[in-house]
Amino acid sequence: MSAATENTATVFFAGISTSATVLLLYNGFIESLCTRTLWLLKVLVLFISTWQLLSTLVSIHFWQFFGRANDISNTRPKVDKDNKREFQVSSLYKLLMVYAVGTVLIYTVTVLFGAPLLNKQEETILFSLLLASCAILPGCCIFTTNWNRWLSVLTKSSLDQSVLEKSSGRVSVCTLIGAWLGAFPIPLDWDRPWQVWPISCVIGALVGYAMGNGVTTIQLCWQMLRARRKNSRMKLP
Amino acid sequence: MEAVDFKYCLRGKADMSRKFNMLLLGFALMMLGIYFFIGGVVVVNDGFEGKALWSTYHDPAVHYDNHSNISSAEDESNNKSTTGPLLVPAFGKLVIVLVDALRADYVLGSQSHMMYTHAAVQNGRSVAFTSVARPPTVTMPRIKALTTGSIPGFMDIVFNMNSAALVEDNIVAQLRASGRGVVFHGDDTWLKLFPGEFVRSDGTTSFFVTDYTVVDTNVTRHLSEELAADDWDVLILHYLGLDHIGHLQGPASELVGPKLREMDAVVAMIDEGLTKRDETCELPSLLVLCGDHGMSDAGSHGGASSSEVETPLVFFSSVFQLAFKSARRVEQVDFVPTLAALLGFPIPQNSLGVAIHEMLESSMSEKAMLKALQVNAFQLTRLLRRRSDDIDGEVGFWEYKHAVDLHNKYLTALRQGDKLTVHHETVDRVTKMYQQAMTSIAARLTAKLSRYDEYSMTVGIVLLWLGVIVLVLPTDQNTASSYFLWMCLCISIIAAHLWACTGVARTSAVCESSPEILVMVGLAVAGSATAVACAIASCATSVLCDKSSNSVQNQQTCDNHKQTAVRGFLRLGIVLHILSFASSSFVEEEHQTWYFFFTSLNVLILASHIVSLAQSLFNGKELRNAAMKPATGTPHKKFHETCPANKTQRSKEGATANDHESAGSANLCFTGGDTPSRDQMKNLLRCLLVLVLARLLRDWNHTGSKWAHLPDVGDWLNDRRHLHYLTAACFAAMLLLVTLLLRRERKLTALRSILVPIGFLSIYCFRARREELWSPWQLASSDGVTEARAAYACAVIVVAEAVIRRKDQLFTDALVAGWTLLSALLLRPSNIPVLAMISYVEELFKHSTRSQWNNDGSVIAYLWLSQASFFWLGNSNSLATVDVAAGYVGLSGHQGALFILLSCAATYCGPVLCLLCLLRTLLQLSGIRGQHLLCTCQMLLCSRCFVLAFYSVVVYVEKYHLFIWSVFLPKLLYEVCHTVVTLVFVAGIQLILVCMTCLDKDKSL
Repeated sequence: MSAATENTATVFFAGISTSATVLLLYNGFIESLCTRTLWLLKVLVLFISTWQLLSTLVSIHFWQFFGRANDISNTRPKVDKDNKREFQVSSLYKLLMVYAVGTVLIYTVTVLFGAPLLNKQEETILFSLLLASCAILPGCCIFTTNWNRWLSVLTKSSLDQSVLEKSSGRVSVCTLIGAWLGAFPIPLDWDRPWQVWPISCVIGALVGYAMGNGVTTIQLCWQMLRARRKNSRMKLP
Repeated sequence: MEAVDFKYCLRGKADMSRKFNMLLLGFALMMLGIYFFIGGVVVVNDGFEGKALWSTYHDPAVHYDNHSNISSAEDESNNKSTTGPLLVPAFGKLVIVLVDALRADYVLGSQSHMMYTHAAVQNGRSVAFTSVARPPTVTMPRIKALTTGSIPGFMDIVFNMNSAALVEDNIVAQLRASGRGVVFHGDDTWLKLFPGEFVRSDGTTSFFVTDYTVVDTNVTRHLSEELAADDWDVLILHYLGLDHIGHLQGPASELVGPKLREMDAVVAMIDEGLTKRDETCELPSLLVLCGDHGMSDAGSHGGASSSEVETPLVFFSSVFQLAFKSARRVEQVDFVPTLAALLGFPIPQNSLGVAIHEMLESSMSEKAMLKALQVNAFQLTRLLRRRSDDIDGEVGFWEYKHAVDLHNKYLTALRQGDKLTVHHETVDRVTKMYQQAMTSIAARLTAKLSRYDEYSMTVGIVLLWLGVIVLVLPTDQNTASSYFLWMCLCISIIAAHLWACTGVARTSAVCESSPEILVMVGLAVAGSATAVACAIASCATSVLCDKSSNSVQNQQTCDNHKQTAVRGFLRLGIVLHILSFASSSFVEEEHQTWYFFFTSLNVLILASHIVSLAQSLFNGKELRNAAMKPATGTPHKKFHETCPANKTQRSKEGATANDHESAGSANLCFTGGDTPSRDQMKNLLRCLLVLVLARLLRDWNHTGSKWAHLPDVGDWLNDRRHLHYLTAACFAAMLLLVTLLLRRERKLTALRSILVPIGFLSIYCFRARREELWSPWQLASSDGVTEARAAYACAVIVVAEAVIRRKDQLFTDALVAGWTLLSALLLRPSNIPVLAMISYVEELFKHSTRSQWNNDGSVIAYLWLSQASFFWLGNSNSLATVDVAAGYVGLSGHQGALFILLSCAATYCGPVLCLLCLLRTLLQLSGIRGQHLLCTCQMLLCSRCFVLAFYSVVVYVEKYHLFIWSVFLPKLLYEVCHTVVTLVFVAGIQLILVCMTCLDKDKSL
């Protein structure tokens, strides 16, 4: 049951992401973000990108890493015909390329939204790296350069998305909306240190990330519980 | 408000007239609502009338004389009769030098240009304070504050331009009543405020902003003879030059330094003259240097930033020997009782000031000082007694009573000759107690001052919301007519009642306690309840219809969700914008909201463009391959059927029966082959360009309050060293504007294609003549009135020609051309590139969004663009950013009505330009003028009315907020002004429409 293993992996990682982010946001993180912005952002970007990369790759290739070899032929979903799921090192390069392009795109949009162009460049770059890690890195891992799939996800026209695709799509939308909403307190005259660009947006993005993952976790857990109940009911007679 | 969809505009003639009636009703409701709400916000002035006499301030509780059995010989003569003067003058002559827009740091800062004053402050020859003015920091309310001591109502700013004689009790009248001769030179506002009060006067017009030397030499030329003359006791000088420099070039201008040195020389001259005079006079003379308001970092004033409200208040006299190193902060109105105490005249009745005790200490005896403080405190308690319901419960009054007790004890001890050292401490204690009492009374009075006519405000809000309902309500309902009658009844009753009750001759007995009001309120509630019920019912049905039709469309279109995403975002934006009004900083930084929304909107559009382009690139190949296999003819035919929105065709076809559907199906077009995909590519690039331009415009003029001080492109261009760059930018901008206005797709006439370039040329000459732009040939510098009038004439002729020819397309184009010319003329040179970019953004925006949504969506998107353009041009929600200089373009002097009209046009030129462009776009797309225009007008009114109705509720709720004067009320003024501009716009459009139809009928007959 590789679909089930993928579900399990997704739930597992999403749960960990949620709880880790929530814990992070609770433990005086915001204060230290205000004082040591650049350093913490660097750590955060490094950590989140690695985590996202690993978790997505592991979820995709779970069956390959941990499953039995004879599962491969008959249990893979048919929709993934054009989407080779064996892990290849060459696809790593590809996904990193897409990731880089995505970061540049996000940087451009951030500047267009009003991020300072001449100062605070490092902050802006780190912020776009963070957004890219949260929002598009899973997509990069799943689709790499398969533009048709990217498109179908963007237009939501394909109905045959796997659980992982759905969840990472939700996480990316939530992250982007969170970052967008995070810009709202900046003009307020509260004079708090976290109102400075890009801290509020970073926090917004992290909250969005946590919420997206949280929704995924809850939904999948609920589904799995129901499936188990159904199974047990079917087994009873 | 988006519920009003174009499909509700039925094509029937009856429906149209009903719609027109509703529009008219909404229009009237908005006008009435604005009238009543604004009427309610104007502070009710219930101060004392008439002049104060010494007897007014005689408090029997203080025993200066032998009230009881204790008697003292020296006091008896002074205070026995209540009509005798309570205070004895400490100074003989007084000179007030009022420098308009004198910032505190110009005098008291470490790098002051005013060396003489600075040195005098440092060595204790003079006493300096930082006086804090209250917003609105505009000249006339400030003069009123400085002379009456009261805080003038906010709406005084509206009357700043046409000042009527001041009837309230004031310094000038008191000085005259005490037998002093007052001489005035300077700003002629004073002459209007105090007609016939001066022995001698020479007024200079303050409104001719571009002149900053003659206004001051006009004042200074009188100085030497006045100093020699002996017939005056008080000399008031009001210098305007600094304010004019600020308006023209800002506080960092290189003209400021010389101007300040000039002012310093004036001060030095007067001070030396007075010192010389002091040797022969028995009483010393006093010189006061003050400012009416400060100057913001952009050079303007009107708002509440610290650089605008802080002005210096410096007292010079030969008797001062004290050194106050730190300039204590005092209220601007504190000047009034201080002066009254020093010169010995009754304090003006409505003064809220607290005498500056340092000044009294340094120039009079302890006893006289305590007496002056007591009089001041008594005057304040008198005001408090009038405004407060429970005088005994007021802390300030209680404190005053205690101070009086102690004062009496002190007086008794003095009479009994008890000369202990305790005296000094007692004096200090009494002083402190009086100070404390006065401070708390003044604070209480200031809080009480912001009184509102809540009844009128409520009525205004109700009317505005009724207006919203009328405008939102779809008219194709059978209930509409009955509902209409209801509304008319309610409104007429409300109006009748209001005319009787909220006017000048209001009789509170009739209006507030009669059962009539209950009836009226009941009717209003019933009416609005019916209206709300109607509205909900019809909205519900319309939403249901909308949903069902949408679901049909969903099946038809392939990527409808993006469109709905953008439309959903438009709805979200409207709601968020309205909610943002609740926070004062969001009101201050409203431009951020609009920039953010406009960028978000464009990013969403960009995303949808990218997706559809990608789709057409990927799927197009597949589909084309698939289409090649079966019969080749069908797909093409199908394409033409399903895509009436094909760009080139549509503009030629003009009228498209159902925009809503065609716009929805426009995205199907990519199946047609390569050309749509190239179109999509173009659209994508356009969208990107819009975003880049919006980003650039954002940094052109920083407004608001939080980041307004940061350097921006406009500041850089306005630097005199970058004159050549500014000229180049203006030249490029004018070229761009000319090309945009004279494009082939516009319906051109020969006359217009000649007049538009001529108009821009004369604008350039106008600016070059005023030395604001560089010119290759030498021009005699002048005011450029002729050139400006030539440009006006060009704009007028361009519009007039179109009116005479009577063609829709022609007409809107001509209107846009005329308005662009007018705006380019009125705007500062550094803003002409902004105007060009706004026009260009509109052009790009129009193309990139053409296939995105229905007409409603585009109306709202254009409204957003218009809001953004308002702020791009450097405007803000603070009164400081209104460019007064625009009101003099092409005029040889100050002309009241024209001045206001031109300033208003300069402020709202961006939004109006966008509205005109919207009209043009809609006409290009639809070609039908009647119904669509009517619906567009309805949308415009509706959006304005909705915002205003919500904002008036915010103002009502926040009416005692700390920032009400500095943030909420200026914003209200802007909202009202914007609404009035929109109302005028809509009325003009409808009027023109009616005229055109009539003329057409005549022609056909």
